[in-house]
Amino acid sequence: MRKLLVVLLALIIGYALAFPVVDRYRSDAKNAQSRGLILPPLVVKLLAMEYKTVTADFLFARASQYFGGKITRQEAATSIDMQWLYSNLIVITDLDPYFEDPYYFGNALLTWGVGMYAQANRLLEKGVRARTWDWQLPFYLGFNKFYFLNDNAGGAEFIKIAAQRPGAPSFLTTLAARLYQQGQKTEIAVAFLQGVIESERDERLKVDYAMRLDALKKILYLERASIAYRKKTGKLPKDLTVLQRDGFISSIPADPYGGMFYIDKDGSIKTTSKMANVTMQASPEKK
Amino acid sequence: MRSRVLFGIFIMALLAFSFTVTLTNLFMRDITRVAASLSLTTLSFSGLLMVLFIGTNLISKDIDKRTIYMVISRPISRTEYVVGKFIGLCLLIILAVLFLGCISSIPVYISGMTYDNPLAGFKWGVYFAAIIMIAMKLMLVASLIMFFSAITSTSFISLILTVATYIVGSTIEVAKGLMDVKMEGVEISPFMGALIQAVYFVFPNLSLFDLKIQAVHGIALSAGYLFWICIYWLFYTGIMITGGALIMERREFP
Repeated sequence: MRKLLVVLLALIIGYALAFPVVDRYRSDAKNAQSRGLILPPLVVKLLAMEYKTVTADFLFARASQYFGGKITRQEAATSIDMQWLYSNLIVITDLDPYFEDPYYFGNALLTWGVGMYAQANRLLEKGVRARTWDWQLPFYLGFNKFYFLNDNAGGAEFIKIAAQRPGAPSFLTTLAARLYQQGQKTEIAVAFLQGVIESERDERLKVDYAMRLDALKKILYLERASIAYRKKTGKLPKDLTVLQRDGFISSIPADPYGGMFYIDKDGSIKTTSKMANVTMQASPEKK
Repeated sequence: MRSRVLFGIFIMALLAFSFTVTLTNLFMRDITRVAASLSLTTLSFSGLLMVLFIGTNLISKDIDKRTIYMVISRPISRTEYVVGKFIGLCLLIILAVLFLGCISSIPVYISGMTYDNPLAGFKWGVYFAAIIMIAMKLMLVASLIMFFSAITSTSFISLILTVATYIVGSTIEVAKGLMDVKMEGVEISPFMGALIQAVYFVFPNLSLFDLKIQAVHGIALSAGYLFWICIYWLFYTGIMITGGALIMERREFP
């Protein structure tokens, strides 16, 4: 009996000593593949049996936690991260094509600063087909086509679809009409975002959009000054300080995303932050 | 509540329901959908555990422990014995699903109150229809247990056979879909095609009763669909119970 107790005690101590080591090795092993495995949609569907909705929940929570962690740690996402996210969202929306969150999340992360417009739009198109009662997805798709891809006609088409869906705000009809006029890109984008803010009810997201609207309004301000400069002098301003020096603007506004506004080669106003919460690293992650 | 299994499963289900609202915090907009999805999954899974653990012991234990002699020596037929056991199990399923179903709606209701999403299509009518379908699916699984209990002599084998049938029944629709898609470069031999078609016909298609996606998004199904799956259910459980009774009638007990 005493012998057994001694052996037990020795084993418990050994276990307690080994535990942190095992834990460390395990967390290293986990970090190496922390994004988690993605299986082909059909295989996941087969394995999920009757638990498809809850599998979609799990996969979405895993992806949003991974990216949420990146955003709070202010880490840049790699192109492999983004590809992983997209593949995940495809699987999730195959399991439950009516699930709103993956479309919404995918659109938010794959566009600004990341530039995976084709993927974001493919995802949104899937959502537009499935969620026939939802005006927001065609609205986002229309915005992407207009703003990122300079496809005004394609954008207008989806804004019209959005306008016909239940609960759609009334500004969509006029927006679709404005899209057919070329130019005025930033003005239209400002109108878009004002509409988004009016219809958004989540306070956190409202703050997010207000920040983007603020940035766009500043760009619009600089653009108008730049156009005025060109009209007066007949050439593009070299940089923003020229505008300030010659009195076209009182000061160079600060980018709410922490970047710096600058004049691009084609004369358009851009910002180094790309107005994104998540930005992609310049070089892809090494395998 | 004499059964410890039942008690344990209920506790597990109640714990899962109470976590549902906390888990919905991981999501952004479709909160009611996530709550409904978690609630229905908990209900369906705990119901399945209950049917498997209680059902497989109903007849097999009688045979195992030889208490069946007490029954067959009474003036009731073996058919009545099988049908009686099945009806008893069905009553238990109805009561348990009714109880858990009512509780499952609490987290869904709370989630709907905390975040009002105008784009959510959730409807209570479809939600409760999905709960009725879960009860029907569980009763179908119960009929499988009755059938397998009649042809096997130990509860373990009938459990394995039922679980295997459940897995095939839950996946066969996707498997058949794979065959129908006709991917480029993938050749499915005629034999394989015929085999899948045969399995599709013989095994119960449990996906018919899985209305979770419709329930969480409030997508109503036609009355015709609901009517015809009831017909399907009636025939399938009928065949299983009659088959089980027939085997029991002819079976010799050592």
